[in-house]
Formats: sequence, structure tokens, C-alpha cells
Amino acid sequence: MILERSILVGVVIVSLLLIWVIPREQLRLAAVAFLAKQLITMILGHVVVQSGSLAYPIREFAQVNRTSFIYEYLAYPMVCAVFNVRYPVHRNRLWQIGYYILYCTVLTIIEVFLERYTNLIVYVRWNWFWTWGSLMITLMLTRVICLAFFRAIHRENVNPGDMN
Amino acid sequence: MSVTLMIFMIPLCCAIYVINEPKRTWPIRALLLVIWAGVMDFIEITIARFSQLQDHKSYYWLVAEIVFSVEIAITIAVVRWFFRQSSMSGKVRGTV
Repeated sequence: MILERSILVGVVIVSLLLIWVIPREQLRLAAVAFLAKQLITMILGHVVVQSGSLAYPIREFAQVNRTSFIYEYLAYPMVCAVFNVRYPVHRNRLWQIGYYILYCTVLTIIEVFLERYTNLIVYVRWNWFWTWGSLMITLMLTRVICLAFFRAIHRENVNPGDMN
Repeated sequence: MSVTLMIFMIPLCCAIYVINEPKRTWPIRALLLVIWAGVMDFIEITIARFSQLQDHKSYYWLVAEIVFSVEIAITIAVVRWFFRQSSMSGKVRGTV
């Protein structure tokens, strides 16, 4: 129990410290990525837990929420914000795919480690591949949302009135 | 926690106000903000009174009014920061 609580506190601290990784001029992109990811993971997280695929035995706000509040509302959205602001947009496609794979793999390894050695998460009808796949899809979805959002704003700034 | 009410209804009400906020003097805008928060408050009280969707135990209408007003005010502040012309019209688009 102490180990799990310590990990949760550590995750909160690390997530908050990640703000310093985000350049000041990229704060808006980070905010959009963070909020888009929060919405996606909130819906998917509830669906997955409600379906009985995953369980979070030790969690925050346990009486009102069966998902992991810190992971789904803070840690993962923050990682996604960093993912988007550090996205290798000027590199080739292969490098960008590798960037996706790197984030998904590292996050999956951390989750598998937590599943195996702590009581923070329990795979009921779930495995590492589902985690990896869902991370990949949600990262891609968030990236698409950010691109669409900022392209629309850029278009509006270049040609005011186009979006009306 | 009600996902429908807390994650969709209240944000939607905030969005409707922010989009339609009139360009008037700040006292008039503050008054309209409080009135809109009152509308949200009324919706919530009606839901609590006539359905089983939520139950107000020690949650008074005045608390809800203040909470909604603060939420809308914070939302307006964030939106203004986000769409500040000097920053959004910049040529530097970063990684998007």
C-alpha cells in the first residue's frame, strides 16, 4: 500500500515537472493536446473499466471513480502534451513512426511493470498488446486533433472570416 | 460522478456562454455571467429535485451559483489567453 501511494505521489510530481519540458511558445499546443487526450482517455478509461477488462484496486477518489484519476487526467495527458510539442515534424516519416513507437513502448513497459509488481493496476481481460495499441491509436488521434485545430486557426488568421 | 452532467452538460453550458459573451462593459458582462450561472444552477436544481440523477445533500444553490460563476470566469480567462491575437497570429507554428 505504501509503495503504491508513493508511486502515485511520484507520478504526480513527475507529471507536474514535465511542464518545464514544454517551451513557452508551445504552451497552446500543449494545452490542446492535454485537453484532447483527457477527453479521449476519460471516455475510453471508463469503458474499459466498466467492461471488466481492467481494474485499479488502489486508486484516487475511489468512491466516485473506478479508473485511475492521476494516470488518465494528469500523467498520460501530460506525456501526450510533451509528445506533441517535441514531435519531430521536420524529420522523415520513418523517424516519426519511430517516435510513436518509442512513446507507446516506454509507456507500455512502465504499465506492465506496475501491473506485475504493484497493486495499482490489474489486467483482467487485457494484455500489454491492447495497452500498446490503445496508446498508439490515442496518440495518433490527439495528433490529428491538434493538427486540424491549429491548421484551422492558422487559416483563420491568414484569411479572416473563412471559418464563419 | 455523473459523466453526462459533469463532463458534457456543464462544459457545454460554459462553451455556449463563452461563444455568445457580449462585447459590453465589464459590469454588464459580470451581471450576464451571474445570470447565466443562475440558469445553469436552475437546471441542476431542477434535475436534483425531479429526478434521481443527483442528490444535493449539503450542497446549497448559492454554492452551485458561486462554483458555476467561477468556472465560467476561469474559462473566459483561459480562452482569452489562448486566443490572444499577438500570439496566435505568429508565423512560428512550432510542431504543428
